[in-house]
Amino acid sequence: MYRKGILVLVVVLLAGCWDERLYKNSSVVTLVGVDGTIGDYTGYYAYPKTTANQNEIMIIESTGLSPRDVRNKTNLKIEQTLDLSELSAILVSNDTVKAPLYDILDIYFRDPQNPITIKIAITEGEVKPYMEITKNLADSAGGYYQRFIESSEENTIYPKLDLQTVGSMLFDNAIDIALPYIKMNEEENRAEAAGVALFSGQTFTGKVLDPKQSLIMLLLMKQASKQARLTYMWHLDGNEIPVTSEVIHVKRKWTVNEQLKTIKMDYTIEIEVDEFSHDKLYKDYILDDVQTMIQNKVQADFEEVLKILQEQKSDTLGIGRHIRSYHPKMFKEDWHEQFVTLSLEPKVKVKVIRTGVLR
Amino acid sequence: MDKVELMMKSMQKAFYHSSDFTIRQIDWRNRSSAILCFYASLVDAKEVQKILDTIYARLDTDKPFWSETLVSTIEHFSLPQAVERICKGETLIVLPDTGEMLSLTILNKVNRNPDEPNNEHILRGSHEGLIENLDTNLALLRKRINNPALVVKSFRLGKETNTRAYYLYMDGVIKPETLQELEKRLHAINIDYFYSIGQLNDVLEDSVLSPFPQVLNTERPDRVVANLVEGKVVVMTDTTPTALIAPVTFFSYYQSPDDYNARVLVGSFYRMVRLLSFISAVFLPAFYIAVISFHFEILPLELSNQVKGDVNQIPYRPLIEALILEIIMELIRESSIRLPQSVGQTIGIVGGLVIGDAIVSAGLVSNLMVIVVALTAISSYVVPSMELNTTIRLLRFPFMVLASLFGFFGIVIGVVILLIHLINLSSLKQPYFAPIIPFQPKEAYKVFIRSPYIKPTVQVTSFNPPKDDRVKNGDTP
Repeated sequence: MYRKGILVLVVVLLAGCWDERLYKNSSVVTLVGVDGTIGDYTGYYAYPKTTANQNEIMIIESTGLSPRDVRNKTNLKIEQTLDLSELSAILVSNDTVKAPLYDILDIYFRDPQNPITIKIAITEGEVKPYMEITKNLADSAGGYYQRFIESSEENTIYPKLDLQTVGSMLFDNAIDIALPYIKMNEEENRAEAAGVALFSGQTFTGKVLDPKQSLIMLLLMKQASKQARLTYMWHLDGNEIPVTSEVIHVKRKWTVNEQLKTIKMDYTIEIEVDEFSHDKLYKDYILDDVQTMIQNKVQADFEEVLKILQEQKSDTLGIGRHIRSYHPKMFKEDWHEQFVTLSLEPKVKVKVIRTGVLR
Repeated sequence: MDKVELMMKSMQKAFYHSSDFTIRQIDWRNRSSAILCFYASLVDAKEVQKILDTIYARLDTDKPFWSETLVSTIEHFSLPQAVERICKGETLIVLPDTGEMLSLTILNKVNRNPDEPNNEHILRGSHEGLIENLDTNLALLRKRINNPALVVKSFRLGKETNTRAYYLYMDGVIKPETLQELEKRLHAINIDYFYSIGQLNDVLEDSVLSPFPQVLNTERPDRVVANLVEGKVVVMTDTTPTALIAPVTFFSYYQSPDDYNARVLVGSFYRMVRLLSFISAVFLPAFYIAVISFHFEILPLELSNQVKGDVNQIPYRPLIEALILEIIMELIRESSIRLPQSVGQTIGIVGGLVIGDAIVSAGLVSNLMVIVVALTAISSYVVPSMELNTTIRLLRFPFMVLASLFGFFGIVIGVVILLIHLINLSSLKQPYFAPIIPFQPKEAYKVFIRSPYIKPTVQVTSFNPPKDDRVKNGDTP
């Protein structure tokens, strides 16, 4: 009995220590940057270095054959264990994603300790300067980009995506992803949201939608977030008056004609007028005029964005998913080729339902 | 030598010529003599003299029941019985002529006032407390329950000390099985010297080695009464101010008379706060250790830098760090109990402020650990019962070890073991974790909420209420 007791105790004590990873022995990486292509990757890891009362962001750079190899090389350079369990953002340069995106993301899905609710963004040009600017801007490198992306999501510029949803969409040929695209504002030395990068399958098409087009694309996706503002010029007697409106609600109805391969896309957009310096919006003829003007502009924007999407073979709206579920006969496995041949006919109806607190 | 002197000699011998044993020859009627004997230390001499005067006066009138008063009685003399009565503190007048003895029960009792017990303070309600005298205690209870259904049964504890003890219950409310079980256990007691309530406590518990107390100790008469009417048995002994209450549930320890004196919402809120304190007192240090050594990814990014900065400077593992601080905490607690009250406050300042602040600056423990341990200590003192408080402080050590070995997984294993133990435990053969397991929906919510008194037909009980409607309605005969 006594012997057995000791045996059990020893087994228990042995088992425990294997899994232990002490917080003080780990370098908690919050931001990862990836640059280069297969065989010649460059990785950047940002972690906070804490001394007595000071936090400093350290950035380590390594090169290697694969993303995992890069991480192993990085581990050689720091005194503690590299720990990615508190990772909050991954930056990838626009050249790297010309190759399949999953090559880079694979290692994040295999390790159960990696969080998968993190953000991914594509940078214009090399990743390095984007990593460096966090030193001046924030306490935590990853936290900076996480907040950066989340605030743009609220302004309906970036779609709401995280590593998990990106991962599942990468392997679905009926829908494509559009990842946040960040450019460098050279004058102010700051990162700037520059719309979304369109993907076709696993690879970046090279086409970037500007922030306004991104917003239109998100409206098409029925993903208006907390704030989705549209600004257009209203012409009255030769004067130009800006009208800003906020999207309150989007209703959409897709009608598919299998024979003609056309999709009628009916959108009803309810908006609130946020800015209208001319005033007197309560007069019906002004309201109708403004409404028609916005409707026409949105209609034009919708057509433009849809055209770009078809050109780039990037089905970010998930039309493929819709067709696969409701018209399975029409769905073909080489969806990207099919998508181009579709004729998409958007029809927008804009309703002003609120005009702000001013009468 | 005449008969009286002979008798005095033998009496003195029976009391080993003790200095405080007084024995005197006095005059009795018809020129005969009597022997007056008593323990001077136990007898209120003035009162005895008064009663004696009354009896002398009656003696001359030759009434047949001259000896009978509230405090005096006459019986046949026998030495063993005389010794026993004197030991109890009675005054004996032996009449050698008739072979009788007159005993006067007037004790000079040294009692303190029924003050509020120091370890069970409440804000509102009665501030009386039980004292070291059994009869006074009984009076305090009878004062609150003016009903003959409150049954008091006496028994004796300790073959040599022969201490008086009572067990009390409300007839009609109590379960007969409970009563039988208690009587069985009291009958089985086999101790020679009874000097501490702990001896009785151990006998009444179902499993002595469990960390959880299964008998409720209290010094508050209102608490005793509240439990009596819920159908529990109360055991009280002479010379201790503590009443033992059984059978109790785990949740009895979390109820305070304050709940019922306060208003419904307030009472319910604080009851829930108290139950939450159990969780924070037992699991908080374990949780912290698990986070720091296994699962730091759950820390928010904003907090992680701060924590990392703190933890980086500590030279040893989180478990050792926690143990150091917990042991310091226990030292401070223990020393402040033993020290006189005036010095006790100094310990609080030295312990709390000086050690708490300096230990962080010295780099022995991290800031967060001080917060965790302080919070734990505060939560453990929220429990209104002292026994459960010590239990809780003990319980967190195994959890800390488990957390340092397996992280959250270890805590879960610990919780499973703890729950299995709690569910298996019984108090006087009644389920300890009632009314959660076995689940009684009507009773379970009372664990969290102090229900209002607007439904007098439903009785507050921790166990199954009696099926008899008459009893349920409170009009017990």
